[in-house]
Amino acid sequence: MVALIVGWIVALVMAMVAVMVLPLSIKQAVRVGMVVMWGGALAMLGTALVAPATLDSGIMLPWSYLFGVALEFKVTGLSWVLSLATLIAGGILVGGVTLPSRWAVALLIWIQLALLLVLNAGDLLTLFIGWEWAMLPVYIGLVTHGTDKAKAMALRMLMMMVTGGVLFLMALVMVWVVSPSMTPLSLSNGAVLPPVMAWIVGGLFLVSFAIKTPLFPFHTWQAALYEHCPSYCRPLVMAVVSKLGVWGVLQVLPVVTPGLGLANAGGPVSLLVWGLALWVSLSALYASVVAWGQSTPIRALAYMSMSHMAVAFLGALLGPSHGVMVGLYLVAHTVLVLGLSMVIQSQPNWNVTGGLGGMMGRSPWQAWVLLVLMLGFIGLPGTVGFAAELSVIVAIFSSYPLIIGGVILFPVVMNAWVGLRWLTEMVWGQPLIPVLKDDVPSWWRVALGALVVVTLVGGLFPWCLQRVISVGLPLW
Amino acid sequence: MAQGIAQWITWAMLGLPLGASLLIRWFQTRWSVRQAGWVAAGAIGSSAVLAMALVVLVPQGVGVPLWHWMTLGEVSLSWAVQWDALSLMMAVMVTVIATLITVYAMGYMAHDIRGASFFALVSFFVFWMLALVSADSLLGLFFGWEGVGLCSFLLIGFWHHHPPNRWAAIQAFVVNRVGDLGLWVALLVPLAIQQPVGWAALSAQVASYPSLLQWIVGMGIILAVCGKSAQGPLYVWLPNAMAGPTPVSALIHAATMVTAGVYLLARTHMMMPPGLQGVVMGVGLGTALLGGVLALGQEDIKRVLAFSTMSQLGLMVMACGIGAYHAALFHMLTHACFKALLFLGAGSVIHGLNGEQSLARMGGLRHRMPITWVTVSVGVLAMMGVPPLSGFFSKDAILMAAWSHSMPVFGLVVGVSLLTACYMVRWWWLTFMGPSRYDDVSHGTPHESPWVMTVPLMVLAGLSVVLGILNAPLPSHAPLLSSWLSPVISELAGHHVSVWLMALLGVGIATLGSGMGWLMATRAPAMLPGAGQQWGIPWILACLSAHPLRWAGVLADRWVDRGLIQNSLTGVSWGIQWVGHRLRGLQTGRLAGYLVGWVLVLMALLGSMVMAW
Amino acid sequence: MNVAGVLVLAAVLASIGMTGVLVRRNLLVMIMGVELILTAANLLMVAAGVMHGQLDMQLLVFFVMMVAAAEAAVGLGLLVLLFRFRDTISTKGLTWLKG
Repeated sequence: MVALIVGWIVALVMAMVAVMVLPLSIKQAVRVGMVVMWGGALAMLGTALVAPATLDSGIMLPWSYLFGVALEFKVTGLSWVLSLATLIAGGILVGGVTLPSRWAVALLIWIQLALLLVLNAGDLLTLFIGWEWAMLPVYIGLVTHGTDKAKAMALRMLMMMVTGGVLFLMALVMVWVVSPSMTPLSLSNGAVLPPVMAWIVGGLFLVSFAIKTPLFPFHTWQAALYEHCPSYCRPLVMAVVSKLGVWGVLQVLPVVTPGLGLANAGGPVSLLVWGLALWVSLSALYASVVAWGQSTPIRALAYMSMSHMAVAFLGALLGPSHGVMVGLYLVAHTVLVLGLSMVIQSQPNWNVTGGLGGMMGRSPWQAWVLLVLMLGFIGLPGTVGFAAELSVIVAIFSSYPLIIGGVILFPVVMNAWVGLRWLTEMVWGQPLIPVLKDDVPSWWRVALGALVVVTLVGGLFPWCLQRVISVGLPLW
Repeated sequence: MAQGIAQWITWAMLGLPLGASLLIRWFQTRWSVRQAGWVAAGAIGSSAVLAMALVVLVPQGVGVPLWHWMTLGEVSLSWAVQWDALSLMMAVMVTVIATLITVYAMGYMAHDIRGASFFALVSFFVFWMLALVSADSLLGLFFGWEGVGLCSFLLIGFWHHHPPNRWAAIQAFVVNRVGDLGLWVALLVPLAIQQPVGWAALSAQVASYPSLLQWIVGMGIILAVCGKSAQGPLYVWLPNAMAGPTPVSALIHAATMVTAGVYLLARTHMMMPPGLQGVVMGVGLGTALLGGVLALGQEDIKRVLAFSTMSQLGLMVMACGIGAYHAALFHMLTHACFKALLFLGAGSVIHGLNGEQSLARMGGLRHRMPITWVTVSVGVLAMMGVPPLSGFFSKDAILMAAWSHSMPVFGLVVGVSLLTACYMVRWWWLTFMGPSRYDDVSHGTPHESPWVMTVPLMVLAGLSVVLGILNAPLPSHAPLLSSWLSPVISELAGHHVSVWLMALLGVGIATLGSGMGWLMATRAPAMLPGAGQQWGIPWILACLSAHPLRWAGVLADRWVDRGLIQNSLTGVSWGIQWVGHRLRGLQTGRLAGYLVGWVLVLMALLGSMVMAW
Repeated sequence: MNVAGVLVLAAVLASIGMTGVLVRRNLLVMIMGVELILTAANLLMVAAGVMHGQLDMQLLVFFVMMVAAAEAAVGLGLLVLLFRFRDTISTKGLTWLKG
């Protein structure tokens, strides 16, 4: 499986270069994109069905003989699910959204290949490479295809991401210097850092992931990004790129600094850890409250997403033993946000005041999908959102002090309020700006339907998802 | 053998309403309202028959496992059904009343374009309600709990073209969510310490918790009950829920969903520490009084009944609080019948008057709508507790329980009963008796409702009359319902008051209350000023909860996100520019200055070399 | 021979020269200051040669003098050029390197 994924990354690179260099028309570029993305998704699915044991595999590729550096890749059940989601999302977008030029296809391919690198990284260096690569195509897309306002905030977003990247790099270099050999620290080894160094490195990583998750006060880039992102990459960005912060915590932090997991707490250390937990949970609360004050549904979704990711962050801090819980949460969130963003952005005038409403009359299929997905997003039992939320919050309740748990429960109510408000506004009533009947390609509806099926199946039989995700991760 | 049959019956009982819902949803553009109605009624009616079959076949109860849900650490969570006296009683009640109301709705919603969709939602609701009452664990109950909340949201906002209905629907869901936080907490405490959450296991281990945890779990359950049954400060959604069609109000907000709170209290009766039971009693009693008083001043025909429901639920909750669970459950059963009857009767009146809902424009309808009038009158009598109707026996049980608890509580319950009689008679008089205040031109000629609507009324009236024998304290043998429920839930012992004395008291209260109600209706119909706005209570509660949050959201977005954080980022870049600007001053261009600097550095280097050497 | 005195003299000469370069605005005087510094360096080298009893430093003095002469020629040439443009040899307005 890992060989497949590495090979597919190479294929994606070639496809991207081909689309950029060759004078293809938009249709041909789309075809190239579809082939490489859906082909990848099918190949991954097929390999998993035929040889499920390969879901937990790793490989090491020598990169530079000069420094003795190797790139390591590792596939787990969770990374497989998320990689599959990435490719499928990309495939849906490249075919379903009107693209401004063939460069858009190239950028989409670029984002996906970076995400595949990050998700299947087996060591810090590979993680870092993918991490940095992921933000460049988003920036380029914003600047070339975004709105006018997008150009202004794109640089700001890039600066924040670069700051995060620099901190990551600093931590990486410190680890590199300290670890016995010149190879970067493999993510499956234990920590070999002296205690003080471990805390500094952990702190650097933490701030870097906090910028990416995002946590208060580094979060202002997210809503603006989601709002001004070009339509062809917004669902991908909202669904998968938003997970990278928590993914980083899940992969890196417990390996590098086990002290940050509450497993060994005591004295001033535990005070620091509890302060950290309080910060993260207050960030979740803040995000859910601010979500009310947003003027468009995508922005509200961005803030609700931020509060969810903060909760996931809290769960990820607990260490690899709770990986399955957080993994379920990430997968659930990915599926739900993908569908929600696809439906919302396909509404004409979604970002104009008075442009929402009446979806049930115009396109009932999308309205029903929105209903189910939004209910899943706010955690209605019977949907995968609830199963995921329950597992993460139980993990949080069992490890953190009760007050943290209390703070975390507040967004449950607040998100329901905000989510329902936007749901009713979009699905029922009538828009102030008249809209002709909008229609979407039929296979777009199939894709949305598939997402709804996953939501419901995951809600009624979450043990299936747990089984897949837990491959390669220690069970709680 | 019983297990096998029970398994099939369970799947059928839960599957039929769900299947009907999906079927109607699929065909909703092709089926007429009647067709959809018959499918729904057929499915729910079959579930009712199956439930009653279960009562006959396995009265001692049976457990039916369904499927494995998830594993959280060491706790394995599964969906399973537990049929015992309590859940079977609830199931029968829910399905029978739902069937009657579905039949009624075929007439009520006959002219609605989206009528078929309505029946899909009603069937969906019945499915979730059955899931709620049949669940064998707190988690399973939570599934049903939120599911009925969802259906309530969709049904209250059924006529969604009118924005206030949408807002009322959202309010219902969100206030319920606040209550659900309590259930979350009650679920999380055992799950976080890796304990199962099945009813029996849960009760056993909560009893072994330290006192703080017991209180936390108990308070959580009380909060959930307040949310679902509209008690305490969380009642505010119920009056606004009257925005939904009348069958919805009858089914969900009188007979079934709101009683889920009482059901939860009964299920968790072993988990309440004594201090919290006092809280339960207080909350119930307070709500009962508040609801009763507010019902006196309402102008809308349905809002009177909404507050009445709130008040009666308060009585049931209070009864649970003093340990009289059988009395509470019996009252829930009888109340479901006559409250549904009253609501359906109100719907009949609204239907007959072409949509009029204000009591000020009714009156004198007893000649125009005789069947409605007779059946509703039976309901009113049952509500007031006039012997030998069912309401008398159930209210009597509560009165006796209150008597054996303490005199102040008993006095307050008597007060509530007085208020009940008062507002009921006022309502009845203003609607049916006296001179007619409706306008023939805008309302058309008031006509009696078609048979699909009046037959359920008659059936419910019959039930209101005879249901009393179910738990009547007859001299020959023990009360039926109590003896059936006893293995599951125990009852406060010790009512040692003569039945006849209580009967006399009941009649006295009813008479006195009727007199007061008649006086109010004839002399001063809108006597309580401000009661229409509930004396600003919802506004105060909103100012404490919803409005600050709303403002916090808007202001945080404007001041913190767009203001503070964005400006501090801009400030950082401005700061860097400023530093650069300042540093530029070093480049004077004057040779002497450069040379001075050069010399100084040289001196420093030489000096350090010398020192090191 | 009092080597210490010579060293002190060299230091004094160097400081005078340095002060002249740093403080005076007349370019000619600045060039004279530079020459003074070079002279002081020469004196230092001779004294060092005497201290260690070697002749090498006296040889080096000739090299330094040669370099000093060349540098003085170039400097004076620049000074004449500057005078042609500005009619003064003051460094007062010379801020073309300002950033």
